[in-house]
Formats: sequence, C-alpha cells, structure tokens
Amino acid sequence: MHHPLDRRRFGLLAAALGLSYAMPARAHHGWSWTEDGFFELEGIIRAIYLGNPHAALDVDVEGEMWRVELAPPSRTLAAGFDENAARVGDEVKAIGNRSRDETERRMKAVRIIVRGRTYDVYPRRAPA
Amino acid sequence: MELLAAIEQAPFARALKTSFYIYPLINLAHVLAIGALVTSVTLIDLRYLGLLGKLKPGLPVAFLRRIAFVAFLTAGAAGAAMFSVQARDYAQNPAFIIKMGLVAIAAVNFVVFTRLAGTDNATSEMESVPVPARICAGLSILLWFCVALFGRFIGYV
Repeated sequence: MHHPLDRRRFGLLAAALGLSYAMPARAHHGWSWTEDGFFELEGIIRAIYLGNPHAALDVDVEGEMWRVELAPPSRTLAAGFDENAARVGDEVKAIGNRSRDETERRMKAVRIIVRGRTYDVYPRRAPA
Repeated sequence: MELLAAIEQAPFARALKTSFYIYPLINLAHVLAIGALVTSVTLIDLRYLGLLGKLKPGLPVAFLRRIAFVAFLTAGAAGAAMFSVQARDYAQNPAFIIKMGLVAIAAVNFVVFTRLAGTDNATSEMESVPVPARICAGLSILLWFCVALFGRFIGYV
C-alpha cells in the first residue's frame, strides 16, 4: 500500500529545500529517500535501539551490516515491538523500503518478523 | 567515544530516549528558540546593513540582542538534551558536525559584531556604521541561515 499524498508532500518539501537530491540519501525522517517498491531483508540482529527519534535495528545479512529503521518509539511499541520482543542474535525478516542510494545498506521497515511474530510498525503502509 | 556512550547512559538521556511527550516538546523548544534567534539577529543585521527602511532608527537593537542571547542559550540547552539521546550517532553525522562548526563561527561573529557596533546605535545614521560591522552583519545573516539549514538536514543524512 502506497500513499502517494505522503510521498508527494515530502517530494515537494525536498524540492523546496532544493538540496536533498544533491546530498546523499541516508535519511531517518520521511520516505523521500526510499525506493517505491517493497524490499525484503533477512539476517541476524546485532543491535536494537528503541528510542527517539526513531527505533532501529542493526542487522547482519551474510556478513554485511544493515541499518533497519523502524517507527518512532511510541509507534514501534504500539505495534507490540518492545524490549522483550527480540534479543541480539535473533533472526529477523524486515519488509519495507530501501534507500535509493544502492551503495547504502539502509532501509525503513514497515513490518518486521521476529520469533514467529509479525510487527507492523507502519500499519497503513504494510503489505496486505 | 566512551564519553559519548556515557552521555547516552545518563539518567536524563535514558528517560528522554523513550519519552512520548518530553522529547517532542524539547524538539519544539529547540525550533521555537531558533526561530526567535534567527528573527532577532536578522533584524539587527538588516538594520546595520541599512535595509530596514523606516524601521531603522527606532529598532531596539540592545533589546533584540538580549532576545537573541536568551534564544541561543535555550536552543543550545534543548539541542544538548536531544544530542544526549544518541550522542555517538550525532557526533558522526556530517550535517551535525558542519552545523556545530557554523554555530561556533556565528557565535564569535555575534560577539565581534556587538563590540564593533557598540551597544546603542539605534539612533545613529548609517554613515557612521563602520564597514567591518556591516561585514559582520552580512556574515551573521548567512551564518545563521546555514546553521538552520544544516540543522534541518541532520535528520536526513
């Protein structure tokens, strides 16, 4: 599920600033820096950050470290992903949108699956 | 790096990390303070550059400088609080590093500008404003704008 309105708004903001396309897209805020299509990643959790401004996981994918950004902590917790949901060393599957910059190992997850449980941290964006 | 990690472990930083209300409110204080800071310094700068037209003679420059100073301290305190949550990340963020460098230069420029311009120029004619003070005024506008610009980009790089 895409929300063209959101994307257009962030696109306008980016165009207004005029700089975001000139700078490397390694963002936390918004979705303007991500690809449109869904992306999947599976690996081992190496670090968990559950805090402001965004929660995030560091995931080891066959020796390569990926940064998987989640929602702000309140939304991530509301999705059920709390301190007890996962441990370092757990396997994780993340579904979301990866950075447009192909040299960068960073994605923004809308859904993560850990220990057989599914957490939709961005429920409105999550695939059906 | 150890110091930065220790900052993240401070009770205040840990509380802020998962707070629902406090973090966004501190963020708001930071943004509002920057708004007051940029507005007040820009008014002073434009007045010394002679670009304020009718407002020029009556502008309370000393009062605006006090507002700018208090806004600077407020923005700095709120910014330090947000920094503490992810100190190690921000310390490596290129936009953050550039912003801090610009803040230091802009702060020095503010002090030099205040010295050069004197404390009460509200009624003096533009011809009496020394050229170095006008250069400071121009730099001030540019520097504070860039501080705000790079600050905004911290979340996007």
